[in-house]
Amino acid sequence: MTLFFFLLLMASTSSSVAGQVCFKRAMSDVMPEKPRDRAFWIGAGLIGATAGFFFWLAILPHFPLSYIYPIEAIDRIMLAVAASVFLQERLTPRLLLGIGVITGGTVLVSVT
Amino acid sequence: MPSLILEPDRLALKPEPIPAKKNPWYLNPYLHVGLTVLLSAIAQILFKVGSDQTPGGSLLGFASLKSGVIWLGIGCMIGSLLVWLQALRSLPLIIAFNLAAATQVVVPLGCWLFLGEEVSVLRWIGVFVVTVGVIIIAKPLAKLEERL
Repeated sequence: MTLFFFLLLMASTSSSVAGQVCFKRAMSDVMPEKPRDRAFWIGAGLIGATAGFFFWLAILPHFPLSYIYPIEAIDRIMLAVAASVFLQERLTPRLLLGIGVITGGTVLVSVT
Repeated sequence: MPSLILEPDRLALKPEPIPAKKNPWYLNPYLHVGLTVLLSAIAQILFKVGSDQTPGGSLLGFASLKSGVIWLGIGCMIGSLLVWLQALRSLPLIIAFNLAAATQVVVPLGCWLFLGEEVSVLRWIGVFVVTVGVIIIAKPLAKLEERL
């Protein structure tokens, strides 16, 4: 993996995490949005997800999918941080343990 | 217009108990997460097949859009996005997102089954560890559901 592909991967990851936060903002029952605001957040989420998708599409042909796919584990950590900062979601010890185990498994898949 | 003719069979039945306020099965957020996992795994495999058919792609992978398989994958992705938005209605983002990590189990499985990609023993162990992580997050939720 060269620096170029690593940067592409980072761009893909951060765009999709931002997209997810926007989607949750739009759909949340706790923070109900006016229909116009909801449409705005869904639109913003779509832009993030689409950008992430095209970066991803650029990376895909260069690696076997079973190798490249789990590297997306980085976005798991990014998303946990983003959700607790921007959505005030609670990180319980059990949740952190689960995230840790999933990330560990994902790294194990990627390095082999 | 309901029929005015009395049906003896029905009259014999006890009055129906007032149903507990429970969402119908198709509104279950866990079903939505499951569908998201399945559809996005199918999409990923289709993207890989499609992008292999169009080698020498441009920087952002636009060349791949010539492939019909890619468009089929995009269709699956849109479907998975719609069910995902439903799941987010009631599940916190962190929980839904980490349950969706099950995709990382289904994708290598699909690559091995359908693309003939080799998956080493160590990689299978990784897939197993991811499964354990998803179960750690899913288990207390399942108990909570039972109590509700």
